[in-house]
Amino acid sequence: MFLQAYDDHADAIYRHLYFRVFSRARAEEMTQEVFMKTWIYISEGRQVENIRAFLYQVARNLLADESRRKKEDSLDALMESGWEAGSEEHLLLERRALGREIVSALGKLPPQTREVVTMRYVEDMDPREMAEVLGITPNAVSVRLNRALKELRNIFMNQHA
Amino acid sequence: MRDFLEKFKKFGADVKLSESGKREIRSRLVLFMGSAPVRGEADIRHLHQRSLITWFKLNKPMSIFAAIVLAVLLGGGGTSLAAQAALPGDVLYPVKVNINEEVRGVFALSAEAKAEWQAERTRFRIEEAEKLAAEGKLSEEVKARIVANFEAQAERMKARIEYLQDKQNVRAAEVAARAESALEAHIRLLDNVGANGEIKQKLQAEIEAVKKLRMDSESKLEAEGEAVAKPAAEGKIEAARNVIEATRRYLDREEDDYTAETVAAAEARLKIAEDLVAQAEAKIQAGAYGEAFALGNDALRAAHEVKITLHAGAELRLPLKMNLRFSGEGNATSSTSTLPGLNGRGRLNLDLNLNAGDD
Repeated sequence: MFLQAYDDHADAIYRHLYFRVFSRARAEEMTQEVFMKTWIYISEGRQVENIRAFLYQVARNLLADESRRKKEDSLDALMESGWEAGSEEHLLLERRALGREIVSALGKLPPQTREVVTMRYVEDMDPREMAEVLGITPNAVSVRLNRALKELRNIFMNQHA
Repeated sequence: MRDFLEKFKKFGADVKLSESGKREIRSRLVLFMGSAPVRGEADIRHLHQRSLITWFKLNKPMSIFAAIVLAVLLGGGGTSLAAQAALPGDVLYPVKVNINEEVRGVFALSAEAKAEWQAERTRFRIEEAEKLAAEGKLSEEVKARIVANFEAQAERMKARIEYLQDKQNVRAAEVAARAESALEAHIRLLDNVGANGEIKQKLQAEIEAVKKLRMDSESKLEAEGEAVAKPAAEGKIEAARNVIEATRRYLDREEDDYTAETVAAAEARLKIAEDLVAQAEAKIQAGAYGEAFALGNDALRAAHEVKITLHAGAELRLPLKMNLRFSGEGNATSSTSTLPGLNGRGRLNLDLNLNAGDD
């Protein structure tokens, strides 16, 4: 059952972590940590009603700790070496250029904003589920999303100005 | 813009674990799950194997080693499950400490994870004492063994934190703060189960030692400058907020399991944690990042202690309507409050009705 949850959600959790830390190796380590911490919680006999939301909450706690690390280093390194989010990625020029564009725009967003954009537009989470993970109301999620899109639009306009 | 979001979505879908990475994590997870089995299952298995354990007890003298080997042979993979519920005095207790916990320790790769894990093991020894005391099984012989085990684990924990101080001082401050709040919570739980005396004295001594380590790390941080101290303080505040929020959610959900006094004391303590967060934020605005970090750490410790006390109280199956105690109780709801367990720097005398950060 728990391993099924791993099979189902590991990639999504990895993706969520990756777009915050911008380091493949670190996101992989943290993915492992998320599942281990979740297992410890369950092994202590406690109930988890929504495993997906719970995994995201654990990931968010880890990211809060991680925010003290200097992520700019890895972002800079990434921009220099080209985008490499997965080992199966072929380093096609077009794809690398796209990766640069996305990483560059996302990197300019504050972590909280980046989080809601990734949840909504990459992980396809609806505002209600996001609300559960973030511990806020669905209305507050919508407000945060609108604000995020506005910020992203500004960045996008500047990039293409 | 829409184009960007579409590209982002398409591109994001490609961001995933490599096949080999996903398989490796899965294998490690399987091993890890074996070393930390589900408590409910362990209890069931423990009951199932009770006859085996009783048999060992009745057939003394048999070396513990032989018993373990036999238990592993007969019990197969279930032995580690059964051992997880073992307490000092049970024949499978050495399997829990020397096999299960050592295997879990293998997964702690970084210096921080090692220190964290060692702090957790130290806490386990106290929890075992609490469980035995709650069941009225804390004999002098078992008590002596627990004290020795606790001291040994606490020594390893302190050595790990000291090592971490040299590598990542901020992390050392965090691990020490978490360990300190956990031990603080347990010193009051020991009172609740009526286990005081030597165990409590040893615990108090370790709290002092860990507090000293934490304060060393915090004062070093002051000297590390804005580039290190600012993000550390901000992260600390975010972490404290998360724990406060999670503990409050738990309290709302499980409120009926606790007395009104316990709930009020927990809420008062969470309010103190929030006030400390507000003070930490004010310090960040003022550019005093070292102090902001220390206040954030205090907030986190206060919230963490509430969380541990509530969870442990439920776990120990203390009479459900027993009042649980927290640090600073008796002062927490007064207008001016000194926080025992949070003092030590002489700057944490709080006036809860005044604007935070005016000190």
